[in-house]
Amino acid sequence: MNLEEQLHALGQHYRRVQPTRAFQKLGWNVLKGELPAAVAYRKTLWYHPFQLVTALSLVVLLVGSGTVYAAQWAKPQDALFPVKVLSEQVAVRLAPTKAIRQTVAQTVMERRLEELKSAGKTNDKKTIDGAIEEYRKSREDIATTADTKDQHLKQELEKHDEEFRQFINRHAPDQEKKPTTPAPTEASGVTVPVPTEKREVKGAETDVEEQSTGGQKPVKEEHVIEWEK
Amino acid sequence: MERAHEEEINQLIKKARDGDKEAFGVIYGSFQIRIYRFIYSLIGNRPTAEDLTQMTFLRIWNALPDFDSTKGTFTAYLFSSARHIVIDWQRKKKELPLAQALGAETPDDSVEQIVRHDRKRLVKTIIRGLSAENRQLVILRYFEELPFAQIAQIVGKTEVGVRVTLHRILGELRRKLKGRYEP
Repeated sequence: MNLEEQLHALGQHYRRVQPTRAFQKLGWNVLKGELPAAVAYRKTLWYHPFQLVTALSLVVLLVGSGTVYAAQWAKPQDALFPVKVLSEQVAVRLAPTKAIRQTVAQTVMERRLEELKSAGKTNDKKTIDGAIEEYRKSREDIATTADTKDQHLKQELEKHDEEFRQFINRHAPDQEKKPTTPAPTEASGVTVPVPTEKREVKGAETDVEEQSTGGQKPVKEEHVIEWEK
Repeated sequence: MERAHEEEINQLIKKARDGDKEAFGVIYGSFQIRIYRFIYSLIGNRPTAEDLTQMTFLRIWNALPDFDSTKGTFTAYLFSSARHIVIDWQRKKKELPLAQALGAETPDDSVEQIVRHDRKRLVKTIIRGLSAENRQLVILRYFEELPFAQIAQIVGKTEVGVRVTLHRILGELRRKLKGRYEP
C-alpha cells in the first residue's frame, strides 16, 4: 500500500470519529438559544440609520437637483410631493440588498405616517384624504416587497396599521372601509432612470398644479415593484 | 451531487439570512459532525472541540449576510471559519508545546484501537508532527476528501499552491517513513 492509499485508509478511521451523543442530540438546541435574533435586521438600515441617510443622499447626488433636496420636506398636496415620492422610489431601487430595500421601503412608510399625522392637525379634508391615499400606497408597497417573516418588521407593521386605524377613526371615518386606490404621481421636470420599475410614475398628462389643487384622475390598477433577483 | 447539495444549502442560507433559525438548524445538522471531526483532529480534546464547533456555527450565523455563493462554496466557507477559530484558539494556547496543544494525546482511544497496523500508526504519528497548516491540508484532502479548489478557498491559497504544498508534504512523509523503516 503506497502512502496515498494509507492516507485514504486513515481517512476512513477519521470519518468514524463522532462527537458525544449528548452533543449530537443537544448541540443544536443549545446553539439555537444563543443565536442572536434577526441577523438580517442587524445589517439593515434600521440598525444603521446613517446608511439610510446615505442612501437618500445618493439619490439627491445622482439626480443632481436642488429640487429633489427641497422636495424631501414636501407634504402631500404640495407641488413638490411627487418629486419626493419619486426620489424615495429611486432610493429603494438603488438599495444594494433586499434587507436594505426593505428597510428603505419601511422608512418611506414611516414618512407617510408622519405626513398623515401632520395632515390630521390641519383639519382639512382634502389634505387628510390625500395623506391617507399616499399612506395606503406605501403600505401596499411594503406588502409586496417586504418579507413579513422578519419578526421585527412584522411588529413594526402591526404598530403602523394600528396607528393608521386610529387615525381613520378619528379624522376620516367615512374612509374606514374604502379600498386603497393608488393615485398617479408625477415628478414634473425631474427625470430619473428607473427603467425596470413596474410601479409607474404615471401622469405624463397630469399637471402637478392640477394635482396639488386636488384634481382627480382615474384609478390605476395595482402596481407591483419588481425587484432584481 | 455535490452541486445539488450546495444549491440546497444556498436555499437554506437565504432563509437563514432572513432570520429563519430552523433553516440554519438544517445546515447545522448537515455539518455538525464534519466540523467537529475536523476541529477534534486538530486539537485532540473533545469538550474543546465541541465548544469550538459551536463557536464556528455562531460565527457563521453572524456572518451569513456576508456569504457570497459566487465566491466559493458554503462548505469551504464553513471549514475556513472552523480553521480560523482553531488558529485563534491555538494562539491563546501558545504556552503549550505545539504537539500537546495540537492534540498529540487523544483521550479517546477508539481511533487508536482501530489503527492496529504499526505502519498506519506511524503515519498517523508523523502527521501529528507536521505543522498545523500542513496537517490541516492533509486532513482536508485525504480525510475530508475535499476537492483542491475548495481546499484552496479554505486555506486562502491558489489551487496550484495547494497541490504543490500537498505534494511536498507527501514527500516529507515518505522521507520520514523511509527513515523509520530503513537503517
